[in-house]
Amino acid sequence: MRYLRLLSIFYKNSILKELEYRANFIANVFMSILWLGWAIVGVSVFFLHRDKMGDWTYPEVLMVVGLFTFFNGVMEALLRPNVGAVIEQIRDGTFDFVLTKPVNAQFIASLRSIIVWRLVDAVIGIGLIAYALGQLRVTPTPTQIGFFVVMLLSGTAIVYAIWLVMVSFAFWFVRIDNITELFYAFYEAGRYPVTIYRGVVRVVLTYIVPIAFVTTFPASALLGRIDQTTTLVGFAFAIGLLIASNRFWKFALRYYASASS
Amino acid sequence: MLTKYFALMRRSLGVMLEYRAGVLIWMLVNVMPLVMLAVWFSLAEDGPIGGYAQADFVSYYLLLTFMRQMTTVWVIHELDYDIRYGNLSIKLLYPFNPIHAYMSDNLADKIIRLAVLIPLGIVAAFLFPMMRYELTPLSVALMLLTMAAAWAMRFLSQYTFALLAFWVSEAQTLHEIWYAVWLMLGGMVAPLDLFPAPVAAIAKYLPFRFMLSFPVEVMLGRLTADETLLGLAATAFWLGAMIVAYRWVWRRGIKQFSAFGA
Repeated sequence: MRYLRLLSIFYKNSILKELEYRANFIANVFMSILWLGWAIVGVSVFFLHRDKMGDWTYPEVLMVVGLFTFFNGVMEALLRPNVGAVIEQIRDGTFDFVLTKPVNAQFIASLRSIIVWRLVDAVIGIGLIAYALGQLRVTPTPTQIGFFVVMLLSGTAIVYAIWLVMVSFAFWFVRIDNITELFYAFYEAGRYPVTIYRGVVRVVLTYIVPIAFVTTFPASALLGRIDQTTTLVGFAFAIGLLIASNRFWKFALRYYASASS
Repeated sequence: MLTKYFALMRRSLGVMLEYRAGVLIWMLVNVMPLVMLAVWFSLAEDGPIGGYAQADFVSYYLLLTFMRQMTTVWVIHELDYDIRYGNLSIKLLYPFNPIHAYMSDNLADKIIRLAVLIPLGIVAAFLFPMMRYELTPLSVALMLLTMAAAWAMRFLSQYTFALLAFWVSEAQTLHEIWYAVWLMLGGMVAPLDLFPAPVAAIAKYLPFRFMLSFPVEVMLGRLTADETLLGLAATAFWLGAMIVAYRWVWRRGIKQFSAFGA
């Protein structure tokens, strides 16, 4: 409860700061729409030549693109700003202040700021998912919606865990901006259903850099392509990653050598 | 000028070698051609798509990966920052146009990339024996020439966008639009032949193709002699246009900059 209250104070504070830069909002909306259009055109090129992509029809693939856009917004708004802040704090030693606060350090380090404009992508992503459902003329059953929500939460937990691991690397390497860029490069592959990939690539995208759980599986849930076993496995996988990333964070924290020590 | 350049290059290479792990990670970041290859490869399982069989996609995208690596440019992040924070003032004191300092950093990065890519290319040749290229001295020479032109166009266009920071704070956003179009019409998402005919007909003449896929098309041997000549002429035209644009923006921008008293 206390953490929820803190989070709302943090976010209110960040949003007030961002409201100073309202012109950014327009630029963000424009760029989000541009990249969404880019993604849709890209998918359309495939469908000029084939009517299915790894067993997925055009509107179904658009749902995956919607989820890709949604999670892109979530990461850009909620996770990326914090990574930047933590790198700064570790470099100049002010991370001490985070550690001495009477609140869990992982909580502050990973959730302190939000760039609210970037949530535009999340909204647009949901819009595209709704549009695709309309094109498919299907109404998901309550069970399917339930599975979708579980998979969406699992996806959020998974991207959070991945970012926490990346933040942890900052304790060893001062510059980790290229590690986050590397993750984005892999994330690109999540634009398309994972079934399009063959062999090793699919295994990597499912279990090593589990992007399939983030974009493909929630779409599968909404389309009734997965049953409760897969949903449960996804959920358990997300919990496992959360625990593992927390362990890794604590391990990395031991390498924090304050400013003057 | 040449001795100056050697000195510059030695300095840049020293800096880049210091950050070699960083360069390796940045190389891994450019995986988009391989993602597109994976997609087209499995789409082509049931037969060729618009004249491209699986082996053609492998040939196209592996060489495109090489082009993507060799035309990587990041100057906008540095120059935009240098202009907005006034660091450019120091670089203006150099005994040459500061563009050469940025350019030599980029070329040093290319030397390191080549040192990694050549062994990888040899491994790839064994791993993917289905790769087919037109390996004549002429086509290789043309590829190297058009690749150098592609790099120059990527560099100049990005540099010119960065110079807009003299007037606006959103130079990087403006460049992002250009970059998105480049990814789409430069042959990254799909070989241009696979776009609808009217789109392909226009994209053939736009600068984006000559900033990425044209050297690959030359090596695939799919172009007629006329098409190759036309491509070379278009390359020269766009490169010339970008040089003119850069000089114009630079001259006006530098006046603007000194007007600030920075």
